[in-house]
Amino acid sequence: MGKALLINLPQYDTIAPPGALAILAAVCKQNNYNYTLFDFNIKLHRRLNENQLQHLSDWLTGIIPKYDSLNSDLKKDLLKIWNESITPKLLEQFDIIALSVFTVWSLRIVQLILPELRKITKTKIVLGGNGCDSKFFDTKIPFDQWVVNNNLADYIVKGDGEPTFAAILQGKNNIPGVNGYPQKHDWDINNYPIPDYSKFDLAEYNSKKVYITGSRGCVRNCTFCDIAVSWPKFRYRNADNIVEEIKKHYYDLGITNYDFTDSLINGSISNFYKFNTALAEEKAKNSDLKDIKYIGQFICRPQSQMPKDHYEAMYYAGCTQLTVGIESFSESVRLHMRKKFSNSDIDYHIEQSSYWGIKNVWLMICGYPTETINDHKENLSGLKKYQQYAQQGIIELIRWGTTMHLFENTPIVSGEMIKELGLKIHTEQEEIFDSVYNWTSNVNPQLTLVERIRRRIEIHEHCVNYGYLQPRVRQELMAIKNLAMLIKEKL
Amino acid sequence: MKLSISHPKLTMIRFEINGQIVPHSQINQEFVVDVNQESNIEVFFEPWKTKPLVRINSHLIDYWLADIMQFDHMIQVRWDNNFYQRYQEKNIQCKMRSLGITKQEDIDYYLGINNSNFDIVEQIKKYL
Repeated sequence: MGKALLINLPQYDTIAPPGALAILAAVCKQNNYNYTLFDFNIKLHRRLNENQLQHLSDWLTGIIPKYDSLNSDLKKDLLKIWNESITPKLLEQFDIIALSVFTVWSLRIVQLILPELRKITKTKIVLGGNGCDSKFFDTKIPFDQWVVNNNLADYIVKGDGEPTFAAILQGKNNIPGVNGYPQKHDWDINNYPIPDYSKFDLAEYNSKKVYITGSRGCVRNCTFCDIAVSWPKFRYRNADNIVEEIKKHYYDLGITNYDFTDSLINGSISNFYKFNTALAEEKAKNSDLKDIKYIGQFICRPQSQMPKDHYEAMYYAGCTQLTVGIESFSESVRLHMRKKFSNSDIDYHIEQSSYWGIKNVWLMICGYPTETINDHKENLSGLKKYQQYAQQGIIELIRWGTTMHLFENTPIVSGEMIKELGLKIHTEQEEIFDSVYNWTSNVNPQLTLVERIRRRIEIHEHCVNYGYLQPRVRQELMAIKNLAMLIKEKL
Repeated sequence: MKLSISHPKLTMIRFEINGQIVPHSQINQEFVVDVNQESNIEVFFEPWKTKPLVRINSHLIDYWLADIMQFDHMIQVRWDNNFYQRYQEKNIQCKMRSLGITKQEDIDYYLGINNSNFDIVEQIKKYL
């Protein structure tokens, strides 16, 4: 029987056990591998103080622009904590070491510890996760290229981890998605093993919940979103399959709270309805399951697609919160974004959410390239219109971010859109942020960065006046202040 | 304010506002009364040991957050101008306990409370 070491890295929250490791654990079990878990992220949260954790977070997320600007004492502490746990003697027992590079925010910690790891072991090292598709903030070198050039790992996995990690454990070669082989995008996710949380110490995490995946990919192609890079095709698990996983985690571990990782839980309307009715029926049959609840991301749909009994089914299944990309209260802006829902669809959705007590987190964007001053006024009017729902707590939170910024690999920066919108990118401040804030559009020349910031501030003031709760807004305003300082220095 | 009560098994319902029986209407499976002032509302129902859904202006409310007293044969609801303020405050306390939050910066970060940050807003305006 083989043995694997599965490692979770910061930047990651401490709310719930990392889903990626639970997936790898299940694959190990299915392929007759024993495994050991090491959550380096949790370890650091237990060992570092608040100031150190803040500095670490700023460094990992690129707020501290240069890799070498990491505080030298903190760097020593990070390596000390790592080396205490990951010793040559420990590593001798493993046939394979898998590190979860969850996002671009894990790259710098990998940059720090992977060379150390490689120095002390010849055990095969596998890297996987969406971070593998990213670039380092300051040098812009692709992560996978850096790994290969420095001979730091044996496998770099992109796309679905389940079949690829299984193939690695089975000793196969030429695996789709591994070491540059073209990815396969139509794996049947119904065949994947149920994630295994049995070896996690759930008490280490803040909430007694686990992440669960009902689907991968999206049914939209919103202009500002890069999800299609990771999951070009929308695939979903059968409803019964998802209910079985929920029941398993409940009966094995007592978990009642589930957080869907899906880009949208209602991508397949029929399957989502089936899931809700099936789970509601299970809860009605068996009172053990009565406390089961779930949250997830959701797309606003018209009543013709999601009639009232769908919301009722969500309630009885235990849906307690939906994160919805409303993005703008202007229909014309949303049309350009490809959101495909109207203002009356929003009204219907929030009425039904209120009727069934399902809380909403609304994600919004200020300063989309086509946003005129009238579109911005519609945003302000929308905040007034929906304030009753904020006061009820149905719009539980609203997030406006730090103004529209352009990410690589999103449709808005395709050749066609750049031409259509006359986008010009001004790159001088790119070294600080992992995306571009300073851009202008020839077709909407009034929408400068200064104007976007002005609108964002006006939106903030309206949100405060109307009683909307905005999490992390202090951090957002600090980032906006940094942007405003840069503009002033430039002028 | 419209208070509505629903449950598929209800066979009898009676609303009393400030000790007086008041008429109600029925829309589909919901029983509705209008409440125009600060009121102590009691809803009697059969069969007993039912937990009906309670809505205020078509907003489903949580029993605990709304301080609804629940008995086998009736529920009690207090309605006044501060209802939603109390509701929100209790909701926030509940979230803080559930997430283990005690520090102010965490309250801002996770719950978005006390988030005017007008000090930073003024600084930004100066730069603009």
